[in-house]
Amino acid sequence: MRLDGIVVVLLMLLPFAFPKIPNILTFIYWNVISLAYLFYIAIKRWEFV
Amino acid sequence: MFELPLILLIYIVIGTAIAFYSRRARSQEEFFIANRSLGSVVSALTYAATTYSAFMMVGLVGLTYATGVGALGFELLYLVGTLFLLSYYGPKIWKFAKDYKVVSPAEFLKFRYGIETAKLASVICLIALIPYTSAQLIGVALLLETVGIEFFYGIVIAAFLIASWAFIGGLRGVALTDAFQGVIMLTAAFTIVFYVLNTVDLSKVEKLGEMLYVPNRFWSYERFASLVVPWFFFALTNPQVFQRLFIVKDERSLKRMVIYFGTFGFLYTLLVVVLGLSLKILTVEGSFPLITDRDKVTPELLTRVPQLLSIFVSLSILMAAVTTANSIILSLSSMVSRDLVSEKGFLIGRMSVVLLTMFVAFFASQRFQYIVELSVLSSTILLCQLPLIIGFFHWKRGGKISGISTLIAGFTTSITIAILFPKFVLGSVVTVIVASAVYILASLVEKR
Repeated sequence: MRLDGIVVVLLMLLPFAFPKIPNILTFIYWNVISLAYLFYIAIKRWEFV
Repeated sequence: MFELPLILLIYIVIGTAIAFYSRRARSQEEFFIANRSLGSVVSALTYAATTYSAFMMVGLVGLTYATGVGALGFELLYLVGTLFLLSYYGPKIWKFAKDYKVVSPAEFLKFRYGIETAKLASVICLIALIPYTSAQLIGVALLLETVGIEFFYGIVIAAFLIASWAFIGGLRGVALTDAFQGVIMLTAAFTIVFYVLNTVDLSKVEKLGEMLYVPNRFWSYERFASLVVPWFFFALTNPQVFQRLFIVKDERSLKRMVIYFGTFGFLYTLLVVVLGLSLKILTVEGSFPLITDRDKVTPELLTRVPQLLSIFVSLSILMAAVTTANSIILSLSSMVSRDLVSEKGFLIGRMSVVLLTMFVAFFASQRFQYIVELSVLSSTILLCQLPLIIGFFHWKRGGKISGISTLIAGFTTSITIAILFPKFVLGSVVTVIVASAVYILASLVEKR
């Protein structure tokens, strides 16, 4: 198993620990992490075995 | 509104022409998986159009409107989960399916857990995906109601579109019509979001209060987990997307398919959530009525935008529903053909496209619960397959008995919880735990 799946899930759950302040931080954070992970799987080498 | 029937007619003619153009099936492999010959762009668009259903523009807009930014987290966690699963398991599944000439999703399980397990998995998929597919038809019918088409006739129109293109063109027809519709879905989402954004003062976003963070009154830890778990594993447990891994022609196309799908998914999710939040800001500001039934948010919006835009978006939602539903129906038909009756040709599989669609249309006409709950129940039931699929790659033990007992335990658990404890939100988590425990125990005692 690869660790990147666990890492990205933990990062996506992090907003549950953010301070409860009504701003767009959580919105932006989730978008940035998702986009970064998409970029990561695009540049990494895939194993076809 | 007389333009919609005309545009519907043009849409039906174009889709039917594409389906006829694609009609070249002489074998099961061609009819159900296009002979494993599709390129990355068409594969990505059919994957996206199959995955993203009427739930997005109807259900998720409403969910965001009613509950806030937690809906974005739920949907994007699904997306990154899918990207992880597709980048890790996708290549293995694609190669295995190619080497062993696997056509139906349940057939994959046959090689490790026996034909009985594959048959049982097919039956469970049939049972589970009826509500999910019905949700697509309900979404369309609710939408068409707003333009004056009665609910029942909306169901009939959607059912006709679902059955006809899959029946005529098989997977190649479905994939090409999906690609065409996927482009329109994304374009329509962009258009309506930019239209709404022109009327919203985004500096007022902080007025949304607790809707901008998690946890809040709706997005508790338990509810977030209950929605995320079945969707996170969607790519492995839902046959219509699992089977999409068989259709690409080579390794390079597979990787590109996943990346293009991820890009589509990210943009579409972002647009839908921005739309839901924008409408909520408008409600807070008094420019958009307060909608208490969240599935009615998009239909209400469509009565307030220019007629042409309303038609365009309505059509895109219809397309989203059709692309998801016909892919499911075709995938289920492949399981009927390959796993349940083991026919040599694909006549029964083809006839199943029509019969299953009729059954789904009947179920939709009964209008059960909210769209989100219906969809999630399907994915929860399908979670019983998860230990078998993960175990296929990571657990050497286990055969027929493990396969059957895992499916029965997981399926029974999910149904029991849904019926006896409908307010219990962690049914999906319990289903995975029970199915995994049974799988491990059964495989430890089973002789291979």
